[in-house]
Formats: sequence, structure tokens, C-alpha cells
Amino acid sequence: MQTQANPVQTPKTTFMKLIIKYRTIMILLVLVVIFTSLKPVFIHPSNLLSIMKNMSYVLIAGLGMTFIITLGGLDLSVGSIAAFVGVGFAMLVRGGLMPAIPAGLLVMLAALFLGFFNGFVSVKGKIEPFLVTLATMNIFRGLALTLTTGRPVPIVIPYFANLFGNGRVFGIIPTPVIISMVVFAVSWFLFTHTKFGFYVRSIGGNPEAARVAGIDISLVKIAAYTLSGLYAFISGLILAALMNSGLPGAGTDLALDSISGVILGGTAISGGVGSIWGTLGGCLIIAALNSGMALLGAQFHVQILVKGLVIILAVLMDNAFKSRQK
Amino acid sequence: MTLSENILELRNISKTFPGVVALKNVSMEVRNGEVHALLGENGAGKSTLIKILSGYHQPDPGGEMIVAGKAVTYKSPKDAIDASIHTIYQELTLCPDMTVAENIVLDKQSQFKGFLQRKNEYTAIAAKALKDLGQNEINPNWKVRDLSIAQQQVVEIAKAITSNAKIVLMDEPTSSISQNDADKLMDIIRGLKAHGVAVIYISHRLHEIGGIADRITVLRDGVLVSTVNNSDVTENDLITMMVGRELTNVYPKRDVPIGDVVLKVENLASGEILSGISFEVHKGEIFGIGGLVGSRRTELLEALFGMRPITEGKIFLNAEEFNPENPRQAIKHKMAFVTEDRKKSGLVLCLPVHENINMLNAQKPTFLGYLNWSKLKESANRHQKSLNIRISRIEQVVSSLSGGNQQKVALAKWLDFSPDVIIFDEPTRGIDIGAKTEIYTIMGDLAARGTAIVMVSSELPELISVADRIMVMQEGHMKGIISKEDSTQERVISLATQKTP
Amino acid sequence: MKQNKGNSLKKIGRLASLLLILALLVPACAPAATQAPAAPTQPAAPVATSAPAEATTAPVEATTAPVVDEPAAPVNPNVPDFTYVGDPGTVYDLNGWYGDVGVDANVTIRSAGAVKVADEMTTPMPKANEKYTIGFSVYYTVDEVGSMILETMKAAAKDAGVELLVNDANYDQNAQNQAIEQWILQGVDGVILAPCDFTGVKTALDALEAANIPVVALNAPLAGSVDALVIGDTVEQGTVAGELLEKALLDTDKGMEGSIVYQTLPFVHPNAATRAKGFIDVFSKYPNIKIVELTGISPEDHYKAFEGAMKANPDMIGAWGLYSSATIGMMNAMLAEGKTDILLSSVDQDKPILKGIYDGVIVGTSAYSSIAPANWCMSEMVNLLNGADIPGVVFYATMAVTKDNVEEAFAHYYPGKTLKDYMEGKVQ
Repeated sequence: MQTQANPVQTPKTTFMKLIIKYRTIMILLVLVVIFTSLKPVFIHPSNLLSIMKNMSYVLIAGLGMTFIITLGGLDLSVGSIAAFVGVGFAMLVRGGLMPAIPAGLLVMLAALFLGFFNGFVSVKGKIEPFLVTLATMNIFRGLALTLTTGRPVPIVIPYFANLFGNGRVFGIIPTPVIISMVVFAVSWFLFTHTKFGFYVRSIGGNPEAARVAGIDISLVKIAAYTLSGLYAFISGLILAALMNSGLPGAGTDLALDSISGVILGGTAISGGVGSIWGTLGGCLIIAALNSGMALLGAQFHVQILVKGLVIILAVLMDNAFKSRQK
Repeated sequence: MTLSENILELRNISKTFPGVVALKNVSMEVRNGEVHALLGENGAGKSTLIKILSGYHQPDPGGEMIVAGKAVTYKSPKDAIDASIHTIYQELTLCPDMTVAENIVLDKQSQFKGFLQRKNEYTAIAAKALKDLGQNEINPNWKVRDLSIAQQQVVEIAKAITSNAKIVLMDEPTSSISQNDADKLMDIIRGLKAHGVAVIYISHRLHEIGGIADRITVLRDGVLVSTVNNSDVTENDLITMMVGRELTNVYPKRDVPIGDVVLKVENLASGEILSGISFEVHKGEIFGIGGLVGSRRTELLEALFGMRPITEGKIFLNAEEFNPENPRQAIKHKMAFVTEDRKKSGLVLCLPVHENINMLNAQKPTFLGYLNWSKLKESANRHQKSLNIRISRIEQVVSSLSGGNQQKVALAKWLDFSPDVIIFDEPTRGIDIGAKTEIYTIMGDLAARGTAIVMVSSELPELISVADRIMVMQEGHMKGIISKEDSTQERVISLATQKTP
Repeated sequence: MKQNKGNSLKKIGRLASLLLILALLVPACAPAATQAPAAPTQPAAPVATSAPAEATTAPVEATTAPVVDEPAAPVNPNVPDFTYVGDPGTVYDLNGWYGDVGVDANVTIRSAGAVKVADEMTTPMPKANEKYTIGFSVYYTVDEVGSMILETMKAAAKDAGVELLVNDANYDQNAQNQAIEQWILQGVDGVILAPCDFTGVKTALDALEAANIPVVALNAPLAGSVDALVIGDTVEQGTVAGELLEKALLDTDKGMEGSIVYQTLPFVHPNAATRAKGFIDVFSKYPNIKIVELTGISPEDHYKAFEGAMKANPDMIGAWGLYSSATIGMMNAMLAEGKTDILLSSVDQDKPILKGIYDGVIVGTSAYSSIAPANWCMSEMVNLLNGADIPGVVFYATMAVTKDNVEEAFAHYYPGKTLKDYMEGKVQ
């Protein structure tokens, strides 16, 4: 049992335990060391900021995904919602239909609705969220493509790109980094210090027990998917700002990348056990890999190969950790 | 080997689980081609014995199992099948989307050479087996999904005899089939017997056993009481043998004044599952519900707590009519439910102790949904102390706790909102004696505070000593309510086992 | 749960994560104020100061190359290969060229003049005056064209005597932008890029402009500013494909009547739009020919679409695959249905297409080299860095491939391999 400390512990097993316990940080540190020794520019502050900037929208989607996966669900549609957001916003402001702020609010409401739709159909229709969001992933992408007939829509507001994409606070920190850190802090609070986060963890851990304890499972699930829509909205705004345009094809890998980040961070795909800090670590791992491999000039073939191996490694360590805990 | 020889002999079989002796020195024989009934109340050790015979458990060293004259040790269920012992479980283990024939040959694939399926051979084997059982109306090419439960049972039996089973174990085979189908099953069993197959038949239904068994072995508390010839005993003899223990009053309930009616149930029904249930529970009373496995006591509790639709009848809480649609409404009406299966519905195992204890506290309205964990931890600590939950720290994950401590955590979460009615489903299942006594004390304290308690229990001594009154159920019907003065184990068992008129 | 593994350990964990974040953030703030990421090794960038795309100036003369040991003005050795289109002193109106087909382009070209070049460079690759470091970001390498471009670029870099950093962005514009940011940080002398997303690349181009790093783009971005572009004359590619089909149709006795199905991408791609314009214009003179457009991405999409089209358009006389996946899908759908009376033409020179031409299933294709564009990019970049005069737009050549020249075309586009070997399975 966990409570009884084993008196005869060799230093070696303790060391292994520590490595496995802090696997996310360990993997990250190992990557930093490897890449820095191969390409010293990797550790350059500007590159680190660039890593965090390029991670920002994946991290934000991943934070939303942490709630969903902890709940025992999955949301494959975040990338499509993000594309819809970029396209919708660009079209509203381009046609001069609306000033930026009402346009942004309108698109945010739309994104919330798309998330709500996922949750509502999944809960009320009693359909696996995997299936629902697999379908809506196509539906929402189809919406974005239909609205634009496939054309990228330039964003005509000059300050938009600065505010959400390429601007820098104090001329140093890219705005997406700031935004993602704020979202991170809010998510951490929501996850660990509010009823909502507690319900999410309880339902993910044992829906039956949560039901007997009087928690409204349907409501919490729908709320979580709606929230995921909000995260996808922020993510989509950043993507659009980075690209200076609403791209109907934006964010195709967003769902899978953010799921990878969440899993790397130790959140269990079976639900109940999740970690916001872990998601940050997991997304950093992916971002560090992307940056390091780009610096090394690796071809895409090698990049995905290495990424896949790191995910397997992390999950193996995860299992080792869980079996040790028992 | 002559017909009268023993196909199975058990010598001094024991089985110990951590903290529990499930079987103690059981020795018995099963003869070739006999129907041997295994009888005992809940927890008497029948399931453990079945699991040993079917290879799921290994007996403690020292005992001996002899099948057809040869000593055997099973390492896995497959070894048992190889030794021609087949078990037909209460929950059938067929593949629903495969055909009857495919299911029958599934465990015999090594007999068939080559890579391809041999559909015609499969069908022929299945058809012959079904014919032998006199069940020509089942088509071997039907999907199992489309069969009734009784027909699926026949397929299981066909599966066993095509593997040349010498012993067939049947665990409560009639618990979920109609009387008509049960009669047919008896015919099949007689057929098996005629073919020299021994049947070990486990059932609570005394009248069924009386009709089919050659000999009867009664277990009680893991010990074999006696093996008798069916013709030598009456149903009442069997009841006495099953119960036959000194009832020492080990769990006295605190003497508290019984107050007004809190919960009143009138002619309650839920679909086909429950019907005609009426009772009242008073302030400070512990109302026990007894019955055998399959008597649908848990289903009744679920109906009370809004987890099962009520199709007929009424529930009154403090004289107000109340029709709960979900647990949330039940909780709003100050009801609490400590469920039977802690792991399935009582606790979130991956969460820490304090979060489980605060499962309801956390639902109180707060500003922006903020949870003050340090405050919540304090209240968890309070419960931990008052209930004597033994943990190293309040953040410990619940899954690492012992059964008794888990049960206290599952109970603790209900205490802060001082419910009017607490429903306990098997409150002491799987926990040790010390923790049991503590749970009874807590229940007594709750009653003293004026809480009405409904308790389902399968342990007769517990039921009789803790409950003020006992309702006995059988297959979703109410069989009677016994007052404290009249309650004896025999009374409960006979109400629970006697044939429904 | 993470939170439950012990208070002290938990704190260590959080502290470690916090430190890591700080490690990422703090040093970033400190030196960045003083840090100018522009390349220290960059030569005095003669082009960067030149006037932007105003058509009236020929800006190259405005600056002289202040390379110390070289008194003579640097010469572009590739000039004999150039055939000028329009005024060499005027910046080519690429935005107008795209505007004709309804593609919004807002690209600023910093060098004047536009030329057409032959498929093979007859002049030598310019030698770098210094050991320049050049970044090359390719949009993808998951097909043969992308891979060949990457390999050729590596060879060309060796030839020119420059160090090449490569990035495989795999259609992810953000990945490409990130790689370019890294190069800026590493202080590269120039960047050659094949954009993933034609508008999203603007972020990277802006960053390069701000850092004063010269850029040559392979395929045109629709936004942002570049020194030079190497692109295919995609209108011409469409025209050639159209003429191949037209000639084949005229050779039959069917008459110019019926429908022609062409299959393209489901979204607006500048290359697709320009090719379509070239193709459609060829048939505008035949009033009885109806042009039908279908879309898809993968060969499977096009296979299915064309299967349907053959049923829906019984009057179909000809078909055109706008790019290789379309043709390959359409060709296989045709073969599966046994329809040999539909004449099919194509763009691109993928090996299955060349085999289809040899087999007589495809009448011809409008082909271009995957090698030449990479070489021309390198030539432009090195000449630019050397301080030589370069044309702002390089159109690489288009070749009409039919059954008559398909074997030579194969050997030309895939050096060292022959169509015969390919068909016998001796080469991949």
C-alpha cells in the first residue's frame, strides 16, 4: 500500500521513481539538453519565446481538451471550430459588416454554440463524444469552407494581427504567449479551485458515483464542451492573427496535437485523472520537438517519427508510474 | 469405472482470502450421473466452491481434488474444462453476435485443422448436440442475440456436452427465466443425468432442489454442514441446516425512541421489476430489508432514490408526496444513499479522500463556483476523526484504502447535510469485524439523531440484530414484514425461499 | 491524481515547472532589448535598400556593392539564359497577372524585370563571394516533386558554395514561420522559401523584411514582400494542356461538340486558378463545348468524382486533370470503366502520368522540371547576395509531352532513369 514506505529502498529505485514521477519535466529537460548541445541557438531567449508563441494556440486548445479528456470524453472538432472562427471573423470585418469588437463577440457566441452543440448532441443523443465530434469536425470544417468557397479571407484590421498574433508586449514577449499564459492561469484555477473542475474530475473518475451524489452530469458535460468551444475560439483568433487571414484550412492538426499534449502531460485518456500543469508540460514537449527538429532541418518524415516515439515513451512511463503506485 | 463411482471427490478443501476464510476443510463427493444440489445462504461459500471447481481460484495447499479418480490441480479455467468440468454461470458467456453453432465450437477450435472455418461441420455438431438435448427448435444458424435467456442456457449446455463434460455446474440457472422454461430445464437436467453426466446444481429455490436433486450438500459460513439424500429431508430441515447457528446479539442497536413516519411507500411498482411494495419507516428506526440474491432489494432502493422509474404507487416523505426522477431530487428531499458497490457507485476511486468526502459539500452555492479547499479539508478532517477513518493524510487517494475505511468515506460524504432518510445497501459487505461494529455504531448514532434508516443486508445476523423491523422480498415482491420480537433467521429464510403462491 | 502524491513532492514539481517557465521567460526579457537579430555576417545587402516595387525606377543601380576586394561590379553569370518578358527595368505586375483570374494578390517584388528561362541552366551556377548561409523552407516533401526540389537545392548549394539550412514545413505555415524565425535568430544571409499558405506566409516575410534578410520565393506568395520569385508560368501550363487536348480532339472525327470535364482542387489555389484560365481560354472559340469543373484533393477523390462524371456526362469527349492527383485518379477511373474514347490531358510529370502517355491512355501533359526551379532559386539568391543584378520574376519553362517525346521527357525530368526501366519495375 502506498502509505507504508518501503524501508529498504536502494538509491537506484528512488532515482527511477523520481524520473518516472516527473516524467514530463524530465522528457522536456532531456530534449532541451539534446537540442541545445546540437544547436546552441535553441536555448536562445528569442527562440524560447518563439517556441512558446508557436505553442500558444495548441496549448489553449489543449487546456480545453484537458477538461474534456478528464471528463472521459474527446473533442476532435476544435480545429474546425478554430478555422470557423478565423474565417467568420475575417468575413465579418472585411465586408465592413461590423466593427471588430461586435464581430469578435458574435464569432465567440457562434463558437460557444458549436461547442454546446457537441455536448448537447452527445449527452441528449447518448452518442459517444468521439463519434459526435468526428462528425462535427467535418461539419464545422465544411461550414468554414462553404462560407469562403475555399478562399483565404485576409483580415483587414491592421491592429488585429498585433493584438493576437505578432505583436509584442514591451517589444519582447509575443502577445500569444501572454494570452496563453492568462488562459493557463484561469484554467488552472477553474480545474482545481472551482466546483466545475471538481465535477469534471468526479464525473470522469466515476460517473455513477457522481450521479448518486446528485451532480448533474448532463449539465456539466454540456458545459465542458461549450467551454471547449470557447478555448477553440481563442485558439482560432490567434491562428488567424498569426496568418493575417481567416483560413478555412487552418487548424487541421489542432485536435490531434492538443490531445497529444494532454496525454504527454499525464492526463488519463480513460478520464478522472487530469493535470493542467501536465498539459503545459506536454505542449512544451511538442513545441520543443517542433522547434528543435526544425533547427536540425529534419524532414517531415523524421519529425513525425520522433514525435510518435516520444508519445509512446511518455505513455509507457505513465503506465510504469501507475503500476508502481499500486 | 462403474456408474456408482465418484466422478468428483473433494478432500479438505480450504480457501482463505486476505482476512477472510471463505471455505474451511470442505470434503464432499459427487457421484457419476447424479444431480447434486449445493445449498447455503448468502456468503456460505458456494460461489467460492464453484470458482475453485471451475479453475478461477486455487484452493489453499493441503486439500485435494480428485476428478475421475485422478488428483488434479487447476491453474486456469481451461484446466477445469480439460478435466471435463463445465460451468454455466448466472451471467451467460456466449458471444451474442455469433451463431449458435459458432458459439458451440468456439472452445473446440483445436479439433479443426486448417485456417478456414468449416461452417457445415460446425452446424452438424451443433445440430446433433441440440437434438440430444431435445431442443430441435433452436436453429444452429441463429444468432445468439436473438435467443431467449433460456435458449442461451441450452446453448451453454450444448457447448458443455459437445466437449464431453462429465460434470456440469449450474449456478442459479433459473434465476432469470420463466417457470415454464425452468420446467424445461429440469427435463434437460434429467436428460444429462441419463447420459451419465453429473450436475452440481446451485439454487436458493428449495422447491426446485426438492424436485430435481438426488443429494444435497449444505454449506454454512464456509463449512460443510452435511450431505444428505433428498428423500430423507424436508424443506424445513434444510432451512434449519442453512441457518442453524447461535444468534449471539453482537450488534445491538442503540435504544432510541421511534418517532413519526418519515418515509412511506404505498403499493410501489417499477415496470416488471418491482410490484406491490408498501412500508413505512419512522424517525429513529432502522428498517431492514432481507431476501436472497435476485430478490431485487437494490432495485427497490434505486427506485426510492430516483434511479429507476416508478410506474405505480406513491412515495411520501414527511407526509408529502414525492416522485424522484433522479438522485438530485432525492438529495434535495434530504435522502441519502450509501450504495452497495462502493467502487461502482459510491466513490470516485481516483480522487483523494477529502474530495470524496466533500462530494456533496462542494455543491453548495459559492461565489463564482470557487471552492475553498482548505476549509473543505477541515470539514473532511473532522469527519475523518469522528468516523475514525484510518489514513495517513487526507489527500490520500481513496483506492488505496481498505474496504472498511472506504465505506466510511462513502458514508461521510452524506453526513454534513443531515439527511432525514439514509438508505444503506449492504453497509458491511467486504469489511472486517472491527469496521463492521464501527459502522453499526454510526448507524445507531444517526438513528439517535432522529434519522430514518433503510438498510438492505444479506447477512441474517446483522439484519436481525440491527434492524427494528425487517421486510423480506422475493423476486421484486414483498413477502412480509417481521417485527423485532418475531424475527428469527428461520423466519426470514423461509419467507425468502418459499415458493411464490 | 497529480495533486495527491505528497505535499512536498507536489511543491517540488510545481516549483520545477515554474522555474522552467521562468527559465523560458526571464532570459528572454533581459537581452532581447539590445539584441538585433539581423545577421551579423550579412554582406552589405545591396538590394534591401533599393526602392520597392515602383515601376518607374530600376533600383539596382542605385546601390553599389561595397565588397572590399572586388573592384568590378559583380556580374550575373546566368543572364544568357534569360529571355525578358516586358521591360527589364520595370517591376513585373504579378498582382495584375493574378488579378486576371480573380486571385487576390498583394505581393511586393523588390527586383525589377521578369524573364523566361529554359529548363536546363546552360550557364554556370554563380559562385558565392563568401560562405553564405541560406535557409530553404520547402512546403512539403511527401511526394516526389517536393523531395526532388529539396535534393536539387542541396546539390545547388554545394555547387554555389553556400551552406544550406533546410526546413520541411509539411503544409504547416506556422511551422514554416517558426523555422524562419529561427533562421533570423541564427543570422542567415538569405532565405529561399516555397510557401505553404499563400497568405499566411506574410508573417514570415514581414519578419524577414524587418531583419533585412533577402528572400527568394519558389511559387508566389500572395502577400508580403520578396526580392525575387521563381514560378512556373501556370497560365501557359494550362494553355499547353488545353492545346494538347484540342489537337487530339481535332485529330479524331468527333467534332468539337460535347463536354470536357476538368478536375481541380476544392479551394482557391493561385496555381490552379491560373492553369484553369489558360485551359479554358483554349476552348473559348468552340461554342458547342461545355466545360465542367469537378473538385477533389486525393487521387481517390478524383477517381470517384470522375467515375460519376462519366455517367453524368454521356457527351463527354475530353477531360483534363489540372494536377497530378487529379489525372492519376481520372486515368484509373477511365481504365476501370474501360472507357478509351475519352481523351485525357494533364499537367505535371509524375511517373504514372508519363507511363499513361506512353500507354496511350493520356494524350499528353504540360510538364516542367522539378530540378530547374530549385537551381534558379539558388542562382537568384547567390547572385543577389553577390551584389549582381537579378530579374524579379523567373518563369521556368513548360514542355508539352506527348507520346512522341515521352521517353526523352522521362529521362530529362528524372536524370539517370528511363521510362523503360520504370515500366519494368527496375527503378522506383
